[in-house]
Amino acid sequence: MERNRKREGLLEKTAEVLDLPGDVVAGLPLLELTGSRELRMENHKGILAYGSEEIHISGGKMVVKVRGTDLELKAMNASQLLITGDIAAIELN
Amino acid sequence: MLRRLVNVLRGNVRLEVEGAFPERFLNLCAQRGILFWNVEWLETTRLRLTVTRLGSRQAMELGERVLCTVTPAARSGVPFFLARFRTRYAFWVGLALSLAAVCVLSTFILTIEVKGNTTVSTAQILTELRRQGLSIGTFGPGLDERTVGNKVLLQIPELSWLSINLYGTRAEVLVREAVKAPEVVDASEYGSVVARASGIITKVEALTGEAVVKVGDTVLEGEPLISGTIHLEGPAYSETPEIGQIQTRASGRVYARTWRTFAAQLPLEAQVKQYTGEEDSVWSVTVLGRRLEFFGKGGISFNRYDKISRTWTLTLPGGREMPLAVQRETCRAYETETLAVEPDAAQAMLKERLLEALEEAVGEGEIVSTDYTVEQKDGMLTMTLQAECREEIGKFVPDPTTQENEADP
Repeated sequence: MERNRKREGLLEKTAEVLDLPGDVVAGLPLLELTGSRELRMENHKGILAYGSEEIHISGGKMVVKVRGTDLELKAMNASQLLITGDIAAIELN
Repeated sequence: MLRRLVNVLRGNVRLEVEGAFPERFLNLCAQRGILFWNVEWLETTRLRLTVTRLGSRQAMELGERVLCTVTPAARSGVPFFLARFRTRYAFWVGLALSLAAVCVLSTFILTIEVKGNTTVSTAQILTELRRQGLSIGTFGPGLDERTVGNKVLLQIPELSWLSINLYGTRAEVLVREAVKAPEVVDASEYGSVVARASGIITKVEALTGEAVVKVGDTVLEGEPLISGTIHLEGPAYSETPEIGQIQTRASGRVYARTWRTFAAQLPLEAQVKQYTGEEDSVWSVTVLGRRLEFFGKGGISFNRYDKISRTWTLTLPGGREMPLAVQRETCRAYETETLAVEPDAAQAMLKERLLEALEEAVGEGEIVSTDYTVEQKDGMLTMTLQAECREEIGKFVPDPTTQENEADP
């Protein structure tokens, strides 16, 4: 586990140094917000908590917290998910 | 819209998931590639989501792994709709029979269209086609269009080209009519123009030959009007006034005033039908040209009867008739009675017949005046028509010598 984390950190730095896309090289989460109604996330690691006002998504080394009202998980597969609703804030922990 | 249509076609299941950590179920589904959407969080421990029909079984197995209870809440889509009919065997038999009927019946010719004919009637072409094996109800794949077309062309010389095209149940028959060959006048045949009716000459137009009558002359039927023998006059002040004659084929038009007489008779008593009121009806159905009686008596017990047929043919909205018809044949019994004919009606009928005969005889000529006389004698009504006409009375008659030469070459 510890070895994997070290490897991810190395890939992340390599991508940064070589100016390569981190989501492709290191598998970092990619968030795409369309207005305030739609959030698309790639390279997620699963949902941690779900509610109509707050959704917690694992992004590997971080947790992405999406806050808002009428939040809904529209679609999800192994690498992508789509959240709709009135998105008020996105917090990274 | 397209995605919704795809979902309807492949079918989808609404699942209700209940457990301590339902989000683990979602993550597992995402990892296993089970498509889901419309996630609805009902409570902290209960949610609903929609999965595909194929993914529902796998999702239920995954639910057991993460200690969640997965129950299908609703099913929708075409596969579930069709599954309702799985045990309705009569429906499947009916569907199979319907499909078989469509497949089999679509190989038979239901309509025949004839195009391109102007002088040759469609009925004549259809009759000949039927004789050669193409009619409504013919099995399409077994038809040799080229052979049938060639046989029809041989039977109808007025047609120069014919093509049969099969479009499913419709046979299209394209025809081209032959150009009529002009009448060939045999110039080697000598002869004269003679009168075909007696009259007083009003105009002579001799194109070939020598006119032997002039305006005002009276001629009898058969008298020569334009002679085929031309007399050649000698030069002026010559000792021989005529140096010879040449034979030719006389032609021309000779108009004359003619008087024609026609007579017609009609009995003053006629046999009239009186219906007795007895009648029998036979109902039949005609499918693909084959008639089948299905109701009514086959034999007729009346001595004298009228047969009245009425046919109801299945017609499509465009006016195209289908080879399915119901026919009713009613036989109405009658007896005959002798009744006196009304003189006015009889005279009107005779007058009409005589005028028709006169117009046929005169042809393109003109009827100047008509006079009718009526006489009743021996139970017969006789009407005589005397008419004055202006008409062309010339007709070509070959010379006897020419005919002899032709007969003895």
